[in-house]
Amino acid sequence: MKVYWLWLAGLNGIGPVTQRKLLEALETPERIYLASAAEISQIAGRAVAAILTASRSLDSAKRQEEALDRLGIRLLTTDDPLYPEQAKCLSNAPVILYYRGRIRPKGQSIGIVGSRRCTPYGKQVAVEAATYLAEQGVTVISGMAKGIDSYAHTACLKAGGYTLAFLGNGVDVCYPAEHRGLMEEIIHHGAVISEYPPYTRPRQEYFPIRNALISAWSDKVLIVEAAEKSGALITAQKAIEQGREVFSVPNSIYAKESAGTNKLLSVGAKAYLGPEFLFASDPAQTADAADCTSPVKPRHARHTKKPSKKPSSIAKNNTGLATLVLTPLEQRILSRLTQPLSLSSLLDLTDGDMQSLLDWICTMELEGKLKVKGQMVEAGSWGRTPK
Amino acid sequence: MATVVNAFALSGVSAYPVAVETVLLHGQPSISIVGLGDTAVKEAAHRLQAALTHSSYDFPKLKIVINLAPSGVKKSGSHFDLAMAIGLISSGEVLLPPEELAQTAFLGELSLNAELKPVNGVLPMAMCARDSGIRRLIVPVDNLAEARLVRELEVFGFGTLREVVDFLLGTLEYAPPDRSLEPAYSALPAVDFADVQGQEGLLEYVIAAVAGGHNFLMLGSPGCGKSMIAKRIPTIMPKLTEEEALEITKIYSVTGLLRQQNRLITERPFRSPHHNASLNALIGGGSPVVPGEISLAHNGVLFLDEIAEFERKALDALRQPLEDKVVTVSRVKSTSTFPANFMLVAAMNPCPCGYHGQPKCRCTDYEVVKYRQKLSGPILDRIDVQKYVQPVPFLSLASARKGPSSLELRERVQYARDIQTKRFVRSTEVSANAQMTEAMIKEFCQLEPDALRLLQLSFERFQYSARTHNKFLKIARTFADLEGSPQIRKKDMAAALMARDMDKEHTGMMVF
Repeated sequence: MKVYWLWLAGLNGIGPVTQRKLLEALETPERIYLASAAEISQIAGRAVAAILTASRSLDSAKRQEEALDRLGIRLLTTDDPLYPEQAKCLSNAPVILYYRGRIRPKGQSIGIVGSRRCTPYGKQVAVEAATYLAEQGVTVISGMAKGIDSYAHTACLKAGGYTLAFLGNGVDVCYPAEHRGLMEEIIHHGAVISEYPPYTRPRQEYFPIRNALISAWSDKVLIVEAAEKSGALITAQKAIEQGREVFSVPNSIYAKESAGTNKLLSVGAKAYLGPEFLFASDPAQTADAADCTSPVKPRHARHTKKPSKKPSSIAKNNTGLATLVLTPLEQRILSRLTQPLSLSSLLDLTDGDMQSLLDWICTMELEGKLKVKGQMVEAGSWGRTPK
Repeated sequence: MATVVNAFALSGVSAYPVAVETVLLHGQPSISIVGLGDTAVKEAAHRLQAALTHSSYDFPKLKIVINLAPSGVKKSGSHFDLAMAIGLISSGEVLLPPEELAQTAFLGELSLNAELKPVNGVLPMAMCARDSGIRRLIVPVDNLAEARLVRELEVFGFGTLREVVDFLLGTLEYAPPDRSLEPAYSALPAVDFADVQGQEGLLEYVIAAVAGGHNFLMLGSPGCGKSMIAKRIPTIMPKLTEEEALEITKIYSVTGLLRQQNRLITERPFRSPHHNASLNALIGGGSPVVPGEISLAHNGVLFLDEIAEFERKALDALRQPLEDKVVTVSRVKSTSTFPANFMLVAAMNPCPCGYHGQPKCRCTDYEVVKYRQKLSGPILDRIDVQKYVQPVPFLSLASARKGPSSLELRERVQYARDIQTKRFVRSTEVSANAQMTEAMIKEFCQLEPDALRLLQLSFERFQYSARTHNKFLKIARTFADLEGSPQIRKKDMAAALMARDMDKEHTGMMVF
């Protein structure tokens, strides 16, 4: 059975659209294989029939099947109940997907993508969002690229979540190489998926198709950081075309790294102001704005406009301070830390005694009152994400 | 009968006596030098002929055989020239009565014009002369100061072969050259910790590292002052003892690095090999085997700047010397052991771009971890203290208070070292906190309850490995020693817990 799927997917000159047309008419690839040329040309035209009659050999498909078994790679075919219906909405959705790991029945899933060269800000957002989603039991989908993608997967897995990675290469190839450990973890607790057969090396032109898969499998897509020309914007574009809700993370208008995401906001993507926003029942006014960029009317545009109400979660922040007991010295240290300071510049608080300053700082760090990074001390993040 | 003249050969950093035997036989006029000499020894034949002729001696028209006994050991170097020349001349005329000749040794290379040229390894050879009961040592004048470091010897320095012969014959009164012969102790070290400003936080850890014999790794962006600090570390190490100074000088003598200084080395060495250094350049090698950088840094500091750029193989070769404090270079024909008791000070960028932790850095955590993994685990494991160096803003440099001087810091180091010397008086292998064994840690690292609680809290929070646990205890021990506390107090523990920035950062890394 598998061998006919591989044969069908491997046909030269017949793309996923035609493949699906044939499948709709004849139901299984085996029947397509056995169908007469007349039948085929009735369904898909004479050119297709000619190609099919010319490629009757199952040899390469059989070889591929053996390779898959050897490499522990599995097939997800469009007739598999695990193949999400919503992913088939893509006109050129591949009829088979190769994967390693375990694909769960489709639950709620959110794509998180962004630039490879991300800033600490982008990292923080990606990690926070992925951790939150993992805790909510939501699948995190991304592309296992450097930067934001890797943080989304890693944070999700560290929080015990389930994640899917879509690759622009065969699932037996690790790209980039330093993600070897990450890839193993994803296979262990999720799945890496690709439409490309094993041994396929990554190529630039493969990635836009991979991006379309990410958004197709996701219910919503969060673009964390994207420069003017970024692959993440392709995902955003595809998501809009597929009618997915697109969230974009705002940043300074002068930040080059966020030119793309800020622009998305200006054309109607929802502003992401915290992980809870991904589930805010209150629909922002995406619908109209999305029309500007997309010829396709987003499916989610059916929401009626309501005056937007600020979610209450913001007010929760900045309340932790009052509950912490601080000694006078601790208060004096913290009051200085409006920005990160070096240890040397706090030395006057202990009259130049470095050892006792170290004592205070270390204790305060362990109590979560501040953070030490090398020689720099900064205010702790308690209050923002209480654990 | 063959005449016998005393000379020495080098093996590692020490010398052994060699008898240069010369005999004139009837036969085809020729000269052969036997006794496993290298090319430099063999070529002495031509230098001898020219130098003797130049000093208006008739070169004997006989079959000359010169043997360097013991004949089964390979020898190298040009310092046998003088002994061979004296041997040849002595077989024609009596320069010295045999019993006096037996108490005299000769070192030096001859030029074609019969001048005496300085050679390497004079100090160990002079020490060997003293130990083998030789009374007088004749050396090239340029090596005089070095040879005179061995006080029990009568040392004479000459400029030409003729002078040596005349002196032996008693026709020349010995007039020591009028340059100062006393070892020139340098007045003040050129660098001082007072130059380092605005790094008080780091300084505490530099002192602790030196005081406890901990190896030290600095992380920081380019230009933040890593090299500046490293260069000053030898200035706060305890003063060299005479024995240590001689050990260092011997090594420098053998490698030929002493000639510019020509005196006892009285400062702790600071060696900073470039990161393209080969394995042999670091640990020693070549033919004949010479000490490498780690031995040149003996009793001092080996500074590996950009340690992540060193060849992994070269770095891994440091593992054994870091443990044993000596390095053994084995070749098929010979095995040499060189001392290598150095403090490893290393510096590296925290990430490929160098600006990790600053807003402009775009390296991902995976890239950062990959970059840091260039340092193998076993090497990192031997580095107790790993600290970030923060660049000091230029404007605040002007206003920053002047740092404490090296002299003050050295006193603090010495204080802690004295405590450790007493602590480890029973042990022959351990002399500092960093080298403590498991059992010693149990015995000497008593924690006050507060300190223990802090340690536990930090392990819960940062999930350090069990291996790190011992490191924290050793460093805490050193911090306690710096203040003379027998118990490890909370503040000692706190300071120690902040001594491993890289480990701490690693627990927060978003990587698998």
